[in-house]
Order: sequence, then structure tokens, then C-alpha cells
Amino acid sequence: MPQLRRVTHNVLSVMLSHPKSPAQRRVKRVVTAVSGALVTLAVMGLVVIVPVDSTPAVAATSTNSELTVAWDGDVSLAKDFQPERNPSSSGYAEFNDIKVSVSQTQGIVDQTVRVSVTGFSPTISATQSRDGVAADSAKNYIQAMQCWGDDPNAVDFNETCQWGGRVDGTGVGDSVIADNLGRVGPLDNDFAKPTTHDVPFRTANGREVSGKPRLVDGLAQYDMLNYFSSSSTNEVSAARIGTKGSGYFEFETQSSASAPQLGCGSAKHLRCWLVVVPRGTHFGGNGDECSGVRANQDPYDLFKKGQANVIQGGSPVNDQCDYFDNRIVVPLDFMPTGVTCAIGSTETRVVGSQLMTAAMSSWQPSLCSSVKSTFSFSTNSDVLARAQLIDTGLSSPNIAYSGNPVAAGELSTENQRTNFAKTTLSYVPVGVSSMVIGFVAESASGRQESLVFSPRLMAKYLTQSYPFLVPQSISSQGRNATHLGAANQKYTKPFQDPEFQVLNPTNYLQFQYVPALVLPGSKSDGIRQVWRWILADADARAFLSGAEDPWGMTVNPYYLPKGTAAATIPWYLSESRDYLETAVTRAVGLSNLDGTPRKLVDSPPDDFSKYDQTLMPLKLATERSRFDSIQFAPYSETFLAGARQTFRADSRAKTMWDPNSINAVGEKGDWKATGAQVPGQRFMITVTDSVSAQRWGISTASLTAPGTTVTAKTVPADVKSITMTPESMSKALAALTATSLDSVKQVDPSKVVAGGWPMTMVTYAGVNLTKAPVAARKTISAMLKQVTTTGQILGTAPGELPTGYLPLTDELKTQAVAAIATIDSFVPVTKTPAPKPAAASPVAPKAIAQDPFEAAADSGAAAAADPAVVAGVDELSTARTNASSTDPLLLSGLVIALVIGLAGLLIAPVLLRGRGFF
Amino acid sequence: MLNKTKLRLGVVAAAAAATLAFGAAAPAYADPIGFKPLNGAGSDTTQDVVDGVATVVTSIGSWDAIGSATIQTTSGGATFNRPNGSTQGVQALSASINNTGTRTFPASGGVSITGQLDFARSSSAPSGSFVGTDLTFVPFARDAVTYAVSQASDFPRDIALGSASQDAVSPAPFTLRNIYRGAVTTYADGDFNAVTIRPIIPQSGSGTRSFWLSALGLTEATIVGTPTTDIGNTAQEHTGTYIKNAGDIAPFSIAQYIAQGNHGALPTNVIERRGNIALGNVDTVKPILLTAGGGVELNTAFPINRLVFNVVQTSRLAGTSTADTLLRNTFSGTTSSVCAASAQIKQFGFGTIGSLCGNTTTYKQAFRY
Repeated sequence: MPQLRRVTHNVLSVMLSHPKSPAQRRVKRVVTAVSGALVTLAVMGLVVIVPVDSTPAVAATSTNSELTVAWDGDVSLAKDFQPERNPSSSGYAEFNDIKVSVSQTQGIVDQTVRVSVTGFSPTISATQSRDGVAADSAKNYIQAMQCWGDDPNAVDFNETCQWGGRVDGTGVGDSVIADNLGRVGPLDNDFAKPTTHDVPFRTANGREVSGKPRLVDGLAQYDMLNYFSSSSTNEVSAARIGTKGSGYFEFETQSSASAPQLGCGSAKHLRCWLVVVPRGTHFGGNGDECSGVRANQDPYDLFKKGQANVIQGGSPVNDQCDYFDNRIVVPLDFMPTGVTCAIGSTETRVVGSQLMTAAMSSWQPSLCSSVKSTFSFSTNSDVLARAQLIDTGLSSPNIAYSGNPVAAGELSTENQRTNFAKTTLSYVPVGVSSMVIGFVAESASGRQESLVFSPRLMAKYLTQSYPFLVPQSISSQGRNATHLGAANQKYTKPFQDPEFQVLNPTNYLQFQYVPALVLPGSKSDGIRQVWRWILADADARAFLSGAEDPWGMTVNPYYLPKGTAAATIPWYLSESRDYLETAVTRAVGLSNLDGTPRKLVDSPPDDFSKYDQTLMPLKLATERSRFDSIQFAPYSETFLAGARQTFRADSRAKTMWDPNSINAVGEKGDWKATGAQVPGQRFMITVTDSVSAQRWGISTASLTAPGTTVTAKTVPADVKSITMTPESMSKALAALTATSLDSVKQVDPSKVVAGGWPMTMVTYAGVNLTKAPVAARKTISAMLKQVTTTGQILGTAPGELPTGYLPLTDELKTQAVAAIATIDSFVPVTKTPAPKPAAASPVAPKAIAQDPFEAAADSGAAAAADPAVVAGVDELSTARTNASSTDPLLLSGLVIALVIGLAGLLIAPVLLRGRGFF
Repeated sequence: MLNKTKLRLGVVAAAAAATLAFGAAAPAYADPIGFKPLNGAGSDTTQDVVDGVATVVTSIGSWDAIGSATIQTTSGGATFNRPNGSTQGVQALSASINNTGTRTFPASGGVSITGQLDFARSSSAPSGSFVGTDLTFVPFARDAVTYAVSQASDFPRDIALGSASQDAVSPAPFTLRNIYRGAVTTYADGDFNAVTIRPIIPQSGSGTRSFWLSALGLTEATIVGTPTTDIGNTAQEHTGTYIKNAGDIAPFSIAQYIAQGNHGALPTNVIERRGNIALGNVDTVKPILLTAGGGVELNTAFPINRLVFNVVQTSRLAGTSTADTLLRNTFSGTTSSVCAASAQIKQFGFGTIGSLCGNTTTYKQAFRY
């Protein structure tokens, strides 16, 4: 029997890892076309309101590898992996109707999959706070984890499961009894009385790590926390079941890239397992060898194995409890992670838009075998990528992803403009995706998947115009958010804004919890597209300009132009930052670099700067410092990181003063993170892209088109909202409008037809033909040919287009073909070797004249060859896969400038905030 | 661990040291008179009851949470900062055990206090953040917490606890959870006028604050932006004098309420600082019951309650020295001298916990510095 299973396993993994024989590829394309239609349905399914009791008809990221497994009598592909069920076991009657569906089981990367459970019983809470046994999920709930063991029927399979990372209780709150969280029972946890029993964790590399604590330097330590801990583990401590016995949750799958201890996706472990453990109402072990939970009345007895109707204590992986016997095992076939390009192949540096991150990671392994070059992709802001593209430094990229073409207007130095004038660029459309407002909202009625934003409502969030978006402290009661308008101050919860209610008439009451707004800290054309959608709306513009909304709400004064009468606030701190009982009036507002007042509506920004300078708490008691807008709502690093943070419901805000902890410099008391939001009481909002939102299973808000009026008289039926679907993205492409170049078109949110997704983005690969040597041009051309053709087939295999993108339309493909033809046919303007030292020297120092790093930059510039010369040489690029070891001195001065530029970018919001203040 | 001979020899010195240590403000506080074999410090919630127990269990020297800045617990021992609160009590006990030989109290810039403390008072269960079994939290009584309002107000005196499942109900039900999360902001007084509610919580870091929030299913993050206030971080737990307005409401330890009410009859000095407050029922359950003898005692069936603990070093519970035996006989098991002092426990307002008293197998935590 085990033999047979192993065979099945091998066949499946062989098919997965070699899907690309020509015949298979043809078949696969047909399948992919069909699944493309399925995906459409799936994406629409995302925004249907899903009560917790119903399993969504089509899961969010449903694929053709969805798998449903029954607890008893399973007939699915996974039937051989399920433990034998014993009808006389205590849990049999509770579990025998359970079915678990997993939305995707093949081509798994670092992402989430949706796990739906039916046929169970509603979760029961132990709400009374008694003896530390209060638990939101006390009976009838689901636990889930990822395991790597080859044989899921092996006796020691539980030792290959990632469980125990939350043993310190971090981020769990009262959701389960604490002794669910470790690997062994209290008896084995007690090193004062050593026991021999252990439930070790075995890593995929064969290392065995004890599940018991160990005394190190007098302190108890769990060695397993070195491998996974609360900040990294994907174990689900408790997923609740609704009143009809069903429910669903998103499970984070971890590849060997993010969890090497599991090794999933490495050559040995292409298949790993999602293990779901149902917890019913029977006790799983005898006393504290399983759990220390005891009756809460005299004589306070420990529970016995099989005892009915008791709170669920004990670890799901501990073999001293019987919980693991009730597991459901679902195979997860991972995308191979170890694919690297052959050492010594040429390296092509690609920079630019984050919107291409997912596509590039799918394309990369396929490209290095077909194009024979390693494409190293580093994301940065579009504006920086464009500057790098026209830079002539030796290591500056020849290809950059961006939403817009290089424009002379945004180049900051004369040198750049001169370069730009001499440069021939070609723009190839490579990807269509969109910006979205992602959210996770959970209430007692379950997860909320429907939320509608108008441009003005979003403007309110982005300008910190609600009290819950500016730093607040319960120690400063009566002084919180006093600089906001009187109407604003009444809205202490999102649903209280009448505009929110008009837009979300059926479920606004479910948005009771103060949202954490996670905004990306980098600049991006995508962010600009969000602002363009907002600024295309007259009502939003009026609001941003200082006008009241129909209910009297006004914009946060910090976001008004400096010098405006309304741009003043009451300020409760003295010059020396002592608390003032009586406020002084302080002028605030936005200004340009030259000091002139700046209107937010004048041009759409490409960042989400937080301008509010509120510091809290005003009156310091035991606190020694105050927190600001950024500490109150920290930025996320990227769109993808923001989506993950939203999925994990962790704002990372540090606003809780802990007088007992010691800070970094050894002083008593420090600001601490308030931790992830409590399950069932979550509200996270982020701005991210469609691909990241899909990958992390977060919901996307619907939008209203610019010009949709929302007033007190608006009836909900008048509010037409648009959901993010491939259709709505496709419709939006009708509004493609020429940018500064006719050949580079971008969606103009103000011109999007009805039903089109206004924040749709086309991303272009800008190629510097002048700079790229002929070999590089050939490589780039081959790469672009692949990614604009086979790279546009939706799918989860390497080389395909990940979910969340829209394949290029025929029109864009035609444009791509034409643009690639110009790359192929490019003839450098001048083949005459220019008098290079003479040409290079006078220009370079001029460009860096104001650069304090002139010396370093100069040596770099001297080493750089003149672009015209390089173009004429037409030799193979000298960069190789191991090029990272290149002597830094050989790199262009631009690299240093870029690092500074990046740093400046990251701290820009801080600098802007701090102006004339700190 | 303690040297009895040294103890006897040090009687005179002890008296002198005590005078020095307590200073002028001493009479208000009930620190031990003379040196005791088993010294403990920490929680202010349980300081009075342990002081009371110490009147019959004379081996215990219980040092209050607030008083002189420093204390000296053994003859010739180090003078160190007075631990204030459960957390500091556990930190000081860990430093006293000093398993590495390098620990000080406070951990940073403190002095070595090896052997100066034998137990810590804790009003909270072991912290999940310090996983381990070095310390055993021995439960000895049950405290319960309810809300206090001004006696002169029309504030409702029976309020439901509430739960997250009602959060989306509109209009919001009148529950403690909804009051503290800002969903209910007024009540109607006798003239049907709306009175604005001011939900108060004690200062940050206090046990009552975290316990109250967890009992209501709230977190520090969820009360930000609500009317909930700690009055500029000045609201002191177990003090009712800041409840002044008709709309004021604050959590209050029922045990403290009873103990302060009994202060005249108690064997140790308990300060009556309740002000003009009245305690309310939760989900129709009374916080206080009449006893047969005409007194009052804590209703152990009250929905919002917690165990209180004395914390000791786990390994000493199995030790064979005289000091370890004394420690075990004092705290461990239902027959221990602390558990036998049930009259004192009730007198100070706490509920007794039957066979759970003296349990040494369930509640463990690692050292904390």
C-alpha cells in the first residue's frame, strides 16, 4: 500500500515538474484558455458577500487544481493520504460529515489558498474569563498547518509539521486555550521534572529540533523558534465555524524560499501537505500529558481522554493527545523553487515597476532556459527606473518597467536631458494589471467581502481626515484629533460616515472596527493612478480643496495649501514640547520646494505622504517620548508586503507604552507594537495591486466611477460600483490615452467607460536602444517576444502569467510586435567613435556638480564608456551571472547616486513631515 | 537558604534598619516588622490580603508595592528598589534567584539581590511571553472585577458584559463592551436626560487595566479613538476618588472594595480610598454576597474573575533544606499555611478556591528580568 502511494506521488510530481513537452504544452494551452474563463468567474466571486455560513460558490483563487477531501470515506485524489477512521472513536460522530476544499493544490508559491470547511458544527466560545481558560474558540474549530513528510501515513508524520511557532502566545490573544500552541503537553514542558517523551520538529534537511523547552543560560528556550516563530509561521491556531457548520479561511503556503525548514518546492519536496485538524468537543488525552486544562469548579480535576463536552486543550501535533488522528491531509504541489540559470550565462539587469514582480518571478526560470540569460529584476519607483534607463553608466539597466515613458519634464539635471535627447527608446507593453484597494474585514457575522469606495471616500482616508487615522491616545482624551472638522470628529468608526453608509447600504454596520491603513511607502506610477482616479472626480477635488462634503466633513488641514485660512490647527505643545493646557494656533499646510503653497489637486502625486504632524500622547506621564503619524501607521515596503501585512492583520503600529520593558538604550519603558488584530474583529485597508491582492487572498473594494454623485439624497440604487474583474480591466483599456508619447498609452481614469476598472495600468518595458549593445538588444528582444506571447497565458506554471494580470489584448500585442521590431531593426545613429574622453569628461562633472559624492561618482563616470562608442562595439555584454562580485569601483557613479536616491525616497515622507517642526 | 543564626543576631540591627528604611511616611504602610524567613513583594492588588495572611502565617514577610523607595528584606542584605506591581515582583524574584550569578534588580543599573526574596505576589497568571517552568505560580484566592459608578448618579447598576457578536447590532445594546468600545456613549437618567458616559480605565501597565480589557474582549488598539480614558494616565487602580461625574464608570476590584470596607476591623493597615462609588451587577450577578454571620464576601460566581498567585521558584518546591521545606509548607498544597488562612483571605475580600489552592502543577513561567 505505501508502495502504491509513492508511485502515485511520483507520477504526479513528474507531470508537474515537466509540463512542457511540445504535445503537453499544446494541451495545456487549451486547458489554460478554459481556466482563464474560470478565473474570470473566480474573480467576480471575490466581491460577492459571503456570509460565514456559506462556502463561496467559486473560491477567490479557484483553479483547476481545486481539491475537496471528505473526512470519512474520501474518494478524491487524496484518499490514500487520509488516516483510517474508527467509527467507535470519540470524535467520529462530530467529524464524519466534514469536507474540506482547497482552492489550489498545484503550482503553489508563497501565496494563500482558500480552505473551505463544511459539515462541521458551530464554534463555541468560552467567554467567561476564568483561570486563564477564556477562549473565543473553545470547541468546534479548525486548525491548519503545513507539513513536508514524504509519507502522510507515517507514524512520525506529525514531526514534519510546522506547529509551535506561536508557543509564546504572540498574536493569538484569547482565540484558543494556550496549550494548543506548543508541541507537547504541560508534563513534558516541565524541565524541572524531565520526561523522555518529545514531539520534535524535523526539518526537511533532516535536523531534529526538540518541541520541549531547554534551559540556556538559565532561561527557557524553544529551539524550534529559531526555525519558525509567530512572525513567520503559517500555522492557523483556530479558524471558526459559522452557525450552519461551515466556514473558510485563507491559508498561507510557504515555499522553501520563505521556509527552508519545510523545503517545499525544492527538488526533494515538490509535494508538501496542508494538514487540517478539526477540534470538536471531546478531550484528546489523559490529563496534563496532553493538556493542563481542568474543571473550573472544585475539585478542579484534569480532564480525561474522551471526556465529552469539554474545552479543547492540547496541541494538535502531540501524540499524547488523539487530535492528529482526526486530520485531513491535502497534497500541495509546489512550483519548483530551486530553478537557477546556468552559472556563467549572461545577466540582464531589469529594474522598475513593482507591478511586474509576480510576472517576472514566473517568467524568470523559463527565460533563462529559452533566452539563455539571467534576468535579475529589482523593483524601484517608476520615476527612478526611467532616470536609470537613460543614464549612461556602465551598470545602468538597458530595460526598465514603468507605466509612463521617459519625459524631459521629470528629469532633474541638464545632463539627463542631454542624454535623453540623444537616446532612442522603445516601449513594449508587457503587462496589464491594476491598482486596487485591498481590505480584510471580519466581524461577528464573518468575513466581509463587499466594500465600496468613492473617490471622495478614498480621499478622506488618504488625507487622514478621520480621527482614527491620526495619532490618538486615550491619555489625551478631549485633545484627540481636535484639528479635524467638527463633523469629522464624530466619526470614530468607519461606518459612521453617512457617505460610507450610502455606498455600503447593506453591510455598513459590519465595519465597526477601527481600520489600520497600510500604505506603500515607495513612489509608483500605480499610486499616481490611484490619485488620478480620485482627482478625476469633481466631488473629491472639491473635498481636497477644502469644501465640505454633503454632511459637513472637511479635509485634514495639514493637506490644504499653506497659507489658506483653514490651514491652521490648535496646537498643544510648547516650543520645548511641553503640554499646553490652552492651545496655540499653528499654521500648517502643503508647500512646494520653493515655499509657494501647493494644492493637492494640481497634479496627482505618486506617493502617499502622511503630512499630519500630530504627536501623542500630549501629556507625558510615564512615557518619555511621543509617537507620530508614521509610528501610528507605518508604511509597507512594497505592494506585495502590504498585501501580506493586510492578510496577517498586522499594522505594526507601535502605540502602546509598556512601562516595564527596557528600550534599546537600556531605559525603562518603551513603545510596543499592539500586535495583530484579533480574529473576528479585523479591519485592514491597503493600497496594492491586483496580483498581490490575489496572491494573499485579500478582498478588493469596489469603486465608483469619477463623477458618480453621492449626497444625502442619493438612494443606494443610484450608486453604480465597479468590481475588479478581468472584464472591467479589459473595458478600461478602451480609455487608453496617449501619454507624452503617442506610442505609450495609459488608462485615463476620467475617460473609462461604464463598467471599466479606473485604476487599470498598462506596464511598458522601456528599452534604451542607444545604450544597449547589439547582443543585449538581441537578448532583450528575445525576452520581450516570449513574455508578450507565451508569457501572456494565464497559469501557475513557470513562464506563465500569474492570476491577477490581464493578458495583453490583441491591440497591445500588435503594438508589442511593432515595438520589438524597432528593437530588432535598430541601427545606431552614429558608428563614428566619438572623441570619448573629451565628450565624457565635461558632461559628467557637470551632472554631478551638486553631488557631495563627486569624487566617487567621478571615478565611476570615468570608467563608464560613452554610449555612442558602446553602441558601435556590438560585443557580448561582459556582465555575467556572478557579476555581483564585480569590484564596486568599476560600477558607475550612478549606482551610488541611486542608493542615495532610494534612501531619499524612503525617508522622503519623514522629511516632508518634519519640515520646520522637529 | 536563610541563615537563622544570622537572623537572631540581627534583631537590634533590624529594628534600626527598619526605622531607616521606612522613614517618616512609614506608619501608613504595612511592611514587615523585623526580618522574616520568607520575603515577597510585587502586586498591589494582593498586598493587603497577603499582609493579612502574614498576621497568622508569621514566616511571611510581605513588602508593599508602594512605600519607601527602597527596601531591605534580610539582615545585612542588599537595599534595593521596592518592586511595584506584579511584573516587577516577578522580575525581582528572578533576580533574587540569580541563576547566572550576574542578575541585578532592576535588570539595568541595579544591585545584586541574590537570596533577598522568596516569593512574588502576582495578580495575573503566567505570561505566555516567558515560556518555561522556572517559576511556579501558586494560586491561593480568587479576585473578581466589576464596574464602579458614582453613588449619586442614575448610572444603570446592572449591565450586561456584551460580546463581539453584538458589535454590528444597531442600535448598540447597552453593554460594558459597547461602553468601552465607544458604541454606547450615553444613558438616560431619571429625568430622561441623556448623560454622557466617561469610561475610565486605570493607568497603563496596571493589572486591572489589562484584565478589564481582556474580560471585555477588547485590546489597547481597539479602545483608541473611543471616549475611553485613563485621565492622562493618572487613574490609579483600586481608587474610587476620581469617579466624580454622573457619567463616570471604571473597573474596580471587588476584593479591594470589600477589604477597604472592612479596613477598621482588619489586622493590618488598609487605606480606604473608595470615594463615593457604588458597584454594579454584571449580567444580573451580584458582586458581593451576604454571609451567614452578617458580613459580606466576594461572589465567586461573578462572571469577571481571576485567580491571584504567589510565585515561587519551581526547584525549591522539591528542595530538602529547611528553608525550602518552610517555603513548601507555606505555599504548596491545600494544607499549606496560606491556604489554611481562609478566614483572612475572605476578610480581605477575596474568594477561596477550594482544592485549587496551593496547586503547583498548572501555572508555570520562565524567569523574567
